[in-house]
Amino acid sequence: MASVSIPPYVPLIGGNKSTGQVTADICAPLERRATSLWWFAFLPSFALLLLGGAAVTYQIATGIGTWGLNRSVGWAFDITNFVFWIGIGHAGTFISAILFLFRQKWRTSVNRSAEAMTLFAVTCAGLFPIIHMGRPWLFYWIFPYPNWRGPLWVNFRSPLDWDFFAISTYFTISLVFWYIGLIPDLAALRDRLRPGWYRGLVSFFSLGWSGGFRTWRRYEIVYMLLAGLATPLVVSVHSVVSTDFAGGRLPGWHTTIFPPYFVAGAIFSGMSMVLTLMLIARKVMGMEDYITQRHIEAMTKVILTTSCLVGLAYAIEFFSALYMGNRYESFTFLNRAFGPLGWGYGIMVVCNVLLPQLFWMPRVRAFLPAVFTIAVLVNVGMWFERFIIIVASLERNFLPSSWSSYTPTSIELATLLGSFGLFFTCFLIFCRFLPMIAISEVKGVLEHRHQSKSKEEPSSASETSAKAVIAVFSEADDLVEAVRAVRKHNWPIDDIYCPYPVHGLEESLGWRRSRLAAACFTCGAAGVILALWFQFWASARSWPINVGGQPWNSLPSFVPVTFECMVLFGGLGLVAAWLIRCRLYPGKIAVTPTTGATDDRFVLAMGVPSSSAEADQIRQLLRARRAVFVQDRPEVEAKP
Amino acid sequence: MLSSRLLTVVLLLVLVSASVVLGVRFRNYSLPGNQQGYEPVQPITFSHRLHAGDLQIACIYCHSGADRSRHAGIPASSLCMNCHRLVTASPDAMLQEVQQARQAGRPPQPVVSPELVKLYDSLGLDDKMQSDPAKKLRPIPWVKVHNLPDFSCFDHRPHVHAGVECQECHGPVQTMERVRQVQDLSMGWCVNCHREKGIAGVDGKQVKPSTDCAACHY
Amino acid sequence: MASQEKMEGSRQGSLALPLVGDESPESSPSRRDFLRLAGFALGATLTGCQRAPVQHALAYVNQPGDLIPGRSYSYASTCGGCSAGCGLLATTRDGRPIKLEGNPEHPLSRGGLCAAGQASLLGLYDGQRLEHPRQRGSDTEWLQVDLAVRARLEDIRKSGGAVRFLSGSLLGPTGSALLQRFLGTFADARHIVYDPSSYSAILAAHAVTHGVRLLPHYRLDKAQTLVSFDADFLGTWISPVEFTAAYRSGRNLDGAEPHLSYHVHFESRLSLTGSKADERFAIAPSEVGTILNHLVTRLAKKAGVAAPEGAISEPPLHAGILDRLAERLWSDRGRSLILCDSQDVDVQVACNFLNHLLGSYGATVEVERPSYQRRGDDDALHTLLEELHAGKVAALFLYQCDPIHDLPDAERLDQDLKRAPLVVSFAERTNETSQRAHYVCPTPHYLESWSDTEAVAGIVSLVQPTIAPRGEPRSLPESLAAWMNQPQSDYDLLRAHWEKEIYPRADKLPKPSFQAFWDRTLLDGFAQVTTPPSKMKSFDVSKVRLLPPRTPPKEGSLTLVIYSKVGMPDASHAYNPWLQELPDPISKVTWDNYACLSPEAAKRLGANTGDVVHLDGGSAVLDLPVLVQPGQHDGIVAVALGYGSPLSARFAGIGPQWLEAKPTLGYSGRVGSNAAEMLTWSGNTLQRIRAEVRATKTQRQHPLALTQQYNLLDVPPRLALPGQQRRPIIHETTLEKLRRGDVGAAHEEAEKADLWTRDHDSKGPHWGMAIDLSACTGCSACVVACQAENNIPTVGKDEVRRQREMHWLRIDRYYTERPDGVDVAHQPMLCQHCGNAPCEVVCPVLATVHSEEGLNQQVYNRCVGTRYCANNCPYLVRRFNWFDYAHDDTMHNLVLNPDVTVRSRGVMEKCSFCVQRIQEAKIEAGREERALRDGDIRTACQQSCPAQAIVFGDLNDPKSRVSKLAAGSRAYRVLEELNVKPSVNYLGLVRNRPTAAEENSHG
Repeated sequence: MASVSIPPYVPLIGGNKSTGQVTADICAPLERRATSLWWFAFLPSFALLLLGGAAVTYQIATGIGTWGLNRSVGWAFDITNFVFWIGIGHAGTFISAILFLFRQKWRTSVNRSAEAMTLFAVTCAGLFPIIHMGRPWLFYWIFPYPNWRGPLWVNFRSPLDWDFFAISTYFTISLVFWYIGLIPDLAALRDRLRPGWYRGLVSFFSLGWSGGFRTWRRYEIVYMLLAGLATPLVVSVHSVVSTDFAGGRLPGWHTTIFPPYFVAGAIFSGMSMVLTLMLIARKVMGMEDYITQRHIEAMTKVILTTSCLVGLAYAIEFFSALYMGNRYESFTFLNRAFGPLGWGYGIMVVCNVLLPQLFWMPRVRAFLPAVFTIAVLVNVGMWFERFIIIVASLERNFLPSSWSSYTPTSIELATLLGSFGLFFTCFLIFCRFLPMIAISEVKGVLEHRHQSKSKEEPSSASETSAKAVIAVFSEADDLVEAVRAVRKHNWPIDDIYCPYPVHGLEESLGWRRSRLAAACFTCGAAGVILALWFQFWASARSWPINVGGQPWNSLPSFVPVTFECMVLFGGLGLVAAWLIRCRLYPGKIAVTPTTGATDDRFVLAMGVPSSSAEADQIRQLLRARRAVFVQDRPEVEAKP
Repeated sequence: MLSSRLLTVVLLLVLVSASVVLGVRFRNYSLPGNQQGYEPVQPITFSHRLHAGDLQIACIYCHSGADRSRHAGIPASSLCMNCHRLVTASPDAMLQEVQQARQAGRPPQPVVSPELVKLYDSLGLDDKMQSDPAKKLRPIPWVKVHNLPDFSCFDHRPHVHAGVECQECHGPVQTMERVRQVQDLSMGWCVNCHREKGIAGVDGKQVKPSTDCAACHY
Repeated sequence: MASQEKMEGSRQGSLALPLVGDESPESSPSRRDFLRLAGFALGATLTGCQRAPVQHALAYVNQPGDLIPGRSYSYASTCGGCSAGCGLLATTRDGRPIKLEGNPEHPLSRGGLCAAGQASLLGLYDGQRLEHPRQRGSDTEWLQVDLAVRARLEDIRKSGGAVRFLSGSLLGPTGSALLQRFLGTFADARHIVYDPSSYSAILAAHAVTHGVRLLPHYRLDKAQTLVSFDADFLGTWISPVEFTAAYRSGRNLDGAEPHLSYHVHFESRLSLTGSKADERFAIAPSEVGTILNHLVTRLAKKAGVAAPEGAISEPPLHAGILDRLAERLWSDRGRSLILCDSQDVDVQVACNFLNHLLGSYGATVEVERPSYQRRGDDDALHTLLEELHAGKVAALFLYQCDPIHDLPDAERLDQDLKRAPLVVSFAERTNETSQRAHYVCPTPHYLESWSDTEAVAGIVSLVQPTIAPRGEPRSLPESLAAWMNQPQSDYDLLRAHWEKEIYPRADKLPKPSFQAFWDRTLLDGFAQVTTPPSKMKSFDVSKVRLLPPRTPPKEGSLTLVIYSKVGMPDASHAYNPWLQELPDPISKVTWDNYACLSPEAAKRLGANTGDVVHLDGGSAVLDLPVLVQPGQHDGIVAVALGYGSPLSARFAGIGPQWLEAKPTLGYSGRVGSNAAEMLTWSGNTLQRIRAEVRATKTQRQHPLALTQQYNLLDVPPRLALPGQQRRPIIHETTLEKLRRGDVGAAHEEAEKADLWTRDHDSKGPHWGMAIDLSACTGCSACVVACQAENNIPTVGKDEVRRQREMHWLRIDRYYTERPDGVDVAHQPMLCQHCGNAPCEVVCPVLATVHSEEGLNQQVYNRCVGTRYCANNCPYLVRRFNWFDYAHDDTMHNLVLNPDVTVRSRGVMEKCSFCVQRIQEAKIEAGREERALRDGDIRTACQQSCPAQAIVFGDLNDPKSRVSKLAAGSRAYRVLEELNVKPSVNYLGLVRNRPTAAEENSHG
């Protein structure tokens, strides 16, 4: 969708970068000392984090009464913040998973930070359900663990329990997804860094990645399968979060429209937050070439689309509330708009529905200060959306006798600020120590011409004892040609090393199909069966307890947890299978055929046939395919 | 290099052995507050084996609240005096004194066991078992053996009435010198008994033990 | 301890066996030592985690024969909360009273007990009660006091000085007799009785019309038509519990033929009684006379008696209404009753005349067996004040009263008291007057001593101790006996008096021995005896005059009406946190008194609820926050007595203290302000109405802690679609319509469609409740009953202001605006124990689930405090422990019910249908090998309800009372349309409004 609207063609990555430049550019901020601009951003964030930490400590020590809640309004800032952050946390996986499946190339520049943002946002979000509890030190009771109470399990009918499963699964899968994407980049970084603690850490977590094509091939499968799993997960998480309300009895909460409405809102707010961060980051980190006008265009369009969706949801829920003839429902919506919190409703409509409409105009989309302002305001509006849904419904409930009003206390405000402190602190640390743009993925979408090559003279010593030969290319196309030529001769290829998964090799190599998908399916199915069985057993067999008059086997209520377990088991099983198959493990010492294999060199490693004539023929052929150099090795290393 | 690897090995060994030690501990005390095996020293070395076992005094004789109140109750010092007004020491000791006195041709001296002196003290009695106004009445600070948390409301009455043997929860008290907590008294233990008795009944009698939360928690 | 021993052991071990290669012992601890120590410390810590602290069990030394530890016992006694003398049962547990309940056999209170009466239990565990006698502000010995007082009294006997004894009405026959004997030893001695809220005019009016100063015993149970002028008889007037029970007996809708007495209420403010009236008219205090004149002339005409002379002015309401009322009264003559609260003797005389014309005397107004519940004599009090001022009093004794606080012109009285040679105060706790007394004699709480009371002639009841007194208080009879040189215990004095005076009056035949009579009375709590023939004369018509017209108050000024609050009958209860935090049944304000202004009057002043107004009554001023009170007359400002007491200074630290906490006390350091200063003397009666008060708004704010913010069943019109404005929370109809089968609301169709199959039907009992909104008066006795039974904490004003009150049972009060005033509906709201409970489904940890007996259980120890259940509760009845609410007052903790867990911070709690009582009843029934009977289980709220509005029982048993009520036509379930299947059935509100025919013929 992105490429249609801009008449003069603008490349996705500006500055006509070469593969090597990409590595250098993106790794540059990590290799130099922190800039004063970074400190300028970090210190206030950290101060906010400390403020929030103090507020939360005080609240846990003194009691939840230090929040402005009351007997009618049991949730306010806490769950508002929770839903707000979870919403923000949706953009990352949306970008990395859904846009990946839709082959949106522009995602490559933003997906890494967006995923990191997701993790930090989910961390912020995950804090609130814990600290909002009256007895937060017992939060683990939400998890069904074997116990001496009968045993007493948990209520699988409660949306809060679904929440627990959904959020922990989402966090885990997002973390895994993010980390999987990070591995090649960590390897690239590792190969650039000077020895030291930083390199040690990076090396430890790069799992001994060497860029072998067998690993790459499986990596791509894993990535795609994970994206396939994460896509419904993204949709499910905010749907589950929305059942915190939709599963309730309250007018204004109890509606079926919530799951799609919340998912749209989540992507809306998440994308705005990504945009906000990207606009700052490209300035601060000097990444204008990587996060270009085209990226911003694309994101504003997503925002515009989701804004329209959200607006539609607002209109529909208002209309159906008035139309259904239920006095409580219609009152709730009129009260939202015209009651004591009408101002908040106004902010919500203006920021979420009206302002983003400006993005219809290309001039607005191109004017970055306006884009930035709108993106920030969208998040303000989305925060208010959740606040209105929660507080306005609770304040004026069924019985007029219990109508109340809510005012936040200083502790709540400090906690909200603290969550922003935590978010930005984490994000800034991330920018400082990890490549904030997916290096290998950006390389994959570079559209560059052939460049003049500085031919390095390979060592021509051809020992007879040599058993392997490697050819190094500086262009992926050369490699592909070379591989085709080699395969035509049916010469054995040991492996290919490249900084990003070069496409077009697969068919010519003719390697056996990976069975990772089967592993993923098996684990996912196991998750489904285990979750279904356990929920049924715990609710209907182990200790049947009457919960709200529902039957022992409340199968529809068991669906969310089952789904989350499927994704969790499938995802973790898949990654584990991949790591085992590729023999990647933390702390593994990487063996690369030559320097630059993770940077800008494409390496073909072949076994040498017994006849030296044939070997010479190979060398000849490789040189002819513009190999930078061809080298003999006594042994083939790094076999998969 | 070698030393750091050695250190790793040593640390791992420490970790493993610590886990084993803690694991053993946790098997014994599986829950915080689980006092299974608790056997506190009592202010008077009262022997349940002697009283409930050898002498076959019914539990309810001393713990008379068991069928009438939530609490089985601990007998008042005055109740002990029903017997111990006369029995001031173990029969052996008293018999021995009588024999010694007979041999020595003197009237037998009263023999008072040092443990029973504590009982008489609590009642403010003097040597001649008479009430001594100068002495203050002091209740005996027995140490509670079976403690339930405050949020669980156990009531002896329905259990005793249903015919549940005291020993089912308290263990073979009649064989214990000093009372020990035999069961872990965890919620799961209570609930499982309620479930089993609900099916099997007590002594062939149908009972309806509740597994509702409000049976114990209110 | 264990850790200490282990540490010791380890150190000795390492010294005894030095390891090879160890460094010298002098060197600093080696790393190895450190590790070893750390290991032991870890072990010790783990040991500490796992071992609960040692608990001791102290048994009795000598077992009391009749007491089993862990069982509750009830003793019949008489309430000492006020002078109404209601019968009560004191539940004691392991030697301490933990709950007061109404005595169902008591002929007056019939099982009810008001909020203040139940809360008076807390006085027992009040750490600030006087424990030792005090002499001029410092503790002393009884011996010192006795010697000094006796010496002074001897002097007075010789010199013939005046001895005055001032007390409230709360003094039983034994005490009174002994007091008379004591006073008889002086040449000039008098006993003066006053009530902080005086009824003196009623007594004086009977002196005028019947020749005897007395308070008649009003028989509301016999009244079919009831007209009340400002008499808040269901709330605070004379004996509200008795009157509520009697009123209820005349209003029964559950029989074959629904029946309601007809109750018309004229009042200026909106009282609890007014809120229950079938017809209520808001009139100015000055208009009472005019209405009475009209009724007198109309009824005199019907009776064929010459109307008294005098001019008659236009009535403030439609003459047709008065015609209709007179007609109704006349047709119900002999069964009608006029009640009036006025302190104007002429007004009371006119009321007596009306009662006389209607034949009420001997029927609904008993003067042969008068009431002794209020005996205050303002005339005598006034004389005493004058004597004090003139310095003519040689010795003043004050018994459980605080005139400096209760009376106007406190400063003068203060000065006068300083000049009095001997002032002795008998008090439970230091009050304003006892601070000025020379000697303060601590009196025991009424549950700590023996005494008696005779609330109504012929009904004498005993007050028996239920616990040993704390400190060394001495009851009044004991002190008097000691000062008469005949020291005796209160028990001996009481028994002697009963043997000599009461027992001969026992009319039961065959007459039992005194011991049997005594034992029986002790068991019952009361005895019915004969009364001496009264010296009453026949009604003296000649004294009746038409009342002179009152000049209406000046433009711009207001009439101040001073009243008593249901939860705070007088200042002697100001120490009581349960009462301070009890929402007023009408205003729903806690922890304050305030100036009630009608919406119109408030608008004129430009004041809103919470704005402080300055009330200037000429000689006295008062600053109070405004409360906008619908239904009130526009020309008045109403202020409650009983506040601003020094007893309330103790609440400075109540409630959680945290960063943003605000104090409970006002700037004066007390709860509320004392309105007694605004009382006026008119003639020789103490007037609670003060004309010509100027109100001005100040710039100050004093936020009130209300438990209900929105007062209507109608939502604001702009927030509702047409026709959806009113919420069908309360079903309301009139008697006439009910007889036609119209219950006042179309039953909302419940959503029957259910996603779920139902696979657990309850086969045993299904506990449920029926609450009769017609019977409920909103008196809030149930709220305190619930609080006492279920260990509900008081949280302080700031927490209530933040809408975090903890009451499990609240009474919702809704106004309905009508052209001629407001209708008020009271609705007790508690956990509805829904069959499809929305709270249960959403709890992640199964902390709230359903029992097999239909209870919605809340397991505190499982709760992690997500508050989702509370959000999801359509009835908003769940309460959350926002803080660790104070349970650090060990004395106060003695009142806690050991059968109910004290909740900790961070957990949800709510009404449990008194599951501890259900369990107890089931266990006892099991012990007796019988099935549970209907009525075996009475919840705390049900037990104490004076109106018997609450019925609890098994809904699965078609023969139980509750299922019969639930099947009745009036029954409905609140928010039934949500298909939550609540177990609480409400019975619709019915008012006895005039029928259309009546309206037409006269209106």
